Amino acid sequence: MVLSEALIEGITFVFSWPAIGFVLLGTIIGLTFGALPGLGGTVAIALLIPVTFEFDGRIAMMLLAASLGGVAFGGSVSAILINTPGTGPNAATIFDGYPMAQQGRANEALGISATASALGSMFGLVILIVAIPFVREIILAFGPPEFFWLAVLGLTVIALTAQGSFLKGLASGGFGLMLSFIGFSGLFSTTRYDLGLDYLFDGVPLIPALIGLFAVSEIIKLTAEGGTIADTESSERTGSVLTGVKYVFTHPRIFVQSAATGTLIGMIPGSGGTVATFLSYMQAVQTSNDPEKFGTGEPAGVIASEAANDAKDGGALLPTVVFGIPGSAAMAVLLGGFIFHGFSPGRDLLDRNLHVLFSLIFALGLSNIFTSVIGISLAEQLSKLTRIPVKIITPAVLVIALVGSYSLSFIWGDVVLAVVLGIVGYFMMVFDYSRVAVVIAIVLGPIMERAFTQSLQISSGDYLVFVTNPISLVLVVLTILSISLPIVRARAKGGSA
Amino acid sequence: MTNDDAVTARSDSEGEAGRPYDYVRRLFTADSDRFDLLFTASLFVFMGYFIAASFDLRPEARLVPLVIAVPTFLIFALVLLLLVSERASAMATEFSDTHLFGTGQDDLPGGETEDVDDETDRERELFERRKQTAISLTVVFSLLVLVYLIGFLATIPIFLIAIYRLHAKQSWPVTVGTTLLVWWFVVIVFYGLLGVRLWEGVLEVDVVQYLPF
Repeated sequence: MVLSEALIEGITFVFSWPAIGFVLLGTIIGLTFGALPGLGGTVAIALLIPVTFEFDGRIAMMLLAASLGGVAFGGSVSAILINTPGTGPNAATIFDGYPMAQQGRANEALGISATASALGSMFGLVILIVAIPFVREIILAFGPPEFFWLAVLGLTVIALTAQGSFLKGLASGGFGLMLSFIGFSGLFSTTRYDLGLDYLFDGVPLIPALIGLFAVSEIIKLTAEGGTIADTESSERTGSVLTGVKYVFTHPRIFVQSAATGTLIGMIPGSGGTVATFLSYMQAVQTSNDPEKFGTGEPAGVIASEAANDAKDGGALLPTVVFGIPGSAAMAVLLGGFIFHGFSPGRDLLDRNLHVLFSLIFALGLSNIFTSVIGISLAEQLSKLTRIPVKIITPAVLVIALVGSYSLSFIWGDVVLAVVLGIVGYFMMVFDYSRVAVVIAIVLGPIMERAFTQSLQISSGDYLVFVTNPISLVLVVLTILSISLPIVRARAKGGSA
Repeated sequence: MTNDDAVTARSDSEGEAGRPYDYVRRLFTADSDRFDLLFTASLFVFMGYFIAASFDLRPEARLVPLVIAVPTFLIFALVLLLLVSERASAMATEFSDTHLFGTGQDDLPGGETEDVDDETDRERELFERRKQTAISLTVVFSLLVLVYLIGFLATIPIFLIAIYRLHAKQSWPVTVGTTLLVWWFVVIVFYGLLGVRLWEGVLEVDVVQYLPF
C-alpha cells in the first residue's frame, strides 16, 4: 500500500464517526484504569480485547490504542493529587507533582502533566511515522531465516531485560515457548503436548492466557494486599492550569530532551516505561542549573517524567508493529489484540494493513489530546476513584475478566485456563519470573517455528541457510551479545569486587 | 490433682486442639524459599513432561520444542539447585554480586519485613499476609466452582453479595448497589450488545428467560 494514501486514509478514518466515538470511549476507559493504582493499561487492554471480538478490526485496535493513551495521564492525576502513582511509570511524577500540589499548585502541575503528556505522545508518534518508511524497506528484505533469528533475538532481549533474575527471565521465555507449541500443528499435521485434553487441541488461546497472566494475577495480588487504593488525602486543586500549560512551552529544551529519552527507551524491548521516566527524570536533574530544586515541587520534574512516559508509547510501538517484539507489557497485550483481530506485525501491518497502523497511531495521538482535556476538567472526580476500597473493585473486575475470557469462544475451558494462568502469573510475580517473557514467547513461538521450518524447506535441509545472509549474521551476533553481555558484566563485577 | 497436673492437662488438651492450627501456622510462616522451590519444581516437572512427550513425536515435529525444552529444563534445574544448596547459592553470589544468578524472589506477600525487628511480630505479619493470599486464592476458586455449577448470571449476584458482605464487610446499600451495577453491566454489554450466550453451568440455571429483552 502506498504510504501517503495509507496516511491520509488513516487520519480521515480516525476523525470519522463512529471511529472518533470509540477513541473517546477508549480514552475514558484508559483514564479510569490509569487513575486506579494497581490496574493500569495492561489490565485495561486485556479486559477490553474480549469486548471487541465482534468489532471491526480497525475500530477495535483504535479503541485499544486509545485506552493506552488515556492510562499515562490518568496515572499522573493520582500521582499529583494523592501521592500515589496510578501506574509504575508515573512514580517519577510524584517527586515534584505532589509537592507542587501541597504548595497549592495542583492545577499548575496537572496543566504541566496534561501538556507534556499530549506533546510527548505527539513527539513519539511523529518519530514513529518518520521511521516507518525506513523500517518498511528493512522488513521487506527479511526472509524466513531472518525472521527466525529476529524471534530468537526478541525473546532473548525480553528475557534478559524483563524485571527479575537473569535465569528466571530465560526460564520464563522457555516456558512460554513450550506453551506456544501445545496443540495441533498444521506444519507437521500432528498434535503436540496436549496433556490428553481435547480442550488443548487448538493450543493455548492467547486472550484467555493474557487475561489470566495479567488481569487475574493482578486481582489476586490486590485482593491479598487489601486496604484502600489511596490513603492520602487529596490535595486542594488550586493554582492555574494555564500557568502549567505555558510552562511547558517556555521550557522546550527539557521537553524535547525528555520526550527523546522516552521514545528511545520505549524502542528497547522489555525496558518498560518506568525505566524511561526515571532515566528522563535523572537526566533532567543532571542537566538542570538548579538540581537542588528537584523533589521540592520543581515543574521541570513533572515535564521530564510525563513527557517521557507518553513519548515511550510511540517508541514502543515501533518494535511491536515492525518485528512483533513489544517494548512493554502493555504493548505485549496490544500485540495480542493485533493477532486476535487478524493483523500480523511486520509485512502485514507495514504493507497490506498500513492504513490500520496509521489509524491506530492517530487514535493514540488523538486520545492523548482527549485525555489532557478531559483529565484537567475531571481530575478531582478521577482522584475520587482511588478512594474506592480495593475489596470493592477486585471482585467486580474478576467477574468481568472471567466473563470476558468465556465470551471469545464460548468454551468453559477458557475460563479455567484464565484462572490457572492467573494463579501461575501471581506466583511468577511473587517469585520474580517474567510474565511478559511468557506472553511474548506465546506470541513469537509459532512465528519462530514456522520461520525455522520454512528456512529448512527453502534450503532443502541445509542449516547454513541460517547464517549465510548478512542480516541473519548481524542478528546472530546481536543474540550472542545479548546473552553474553550480562554474564561478562557480572564476571567483571565479580572480579573487581 | 495438683496445680501442676492441672496445668499439664490443660496444655495437653490445648496441644491436641491446636495441632491443625499449628500446622497451618507453620505452613503460613514457612521460609519463602520453600514456596519458591515448590513453584520452580512444578515448572521443572512440567518442562520434564514436554521433553518426555517429545519422544512420541516425529523428529521434525519435536526438533524446535526439544531445542527449547532441554535448555529451559536445565535452567530450572539450576534455579532449583541454587534454592536447595546454600553452597551453590554462595558460589553464585561469589561469581556475581548482581542479579544474574540470584533467584531474586521477594516472598509470598509478606517478604518485606525488614522494618520489623521482633521475630514474633515478623512471624505474625507474615502469617497475616499469607492468610490474605490464601483467602484471595480461595475467592478465585470459589468463583470458578460457582460459575461451573450455576453459570455466570446466577453466580454474579451470589458471589458478589457474599464477598462484599463477608469479606469486604461492606454495607447493604454498597453491596446491593455494586452487585446490581456489575450484573447489569455484564448483561447489557455481553448478553445484550455482544450477543454472548453466557455459560449456564452444569446445573443449567437459565436466568436469561427472566430478562426483559
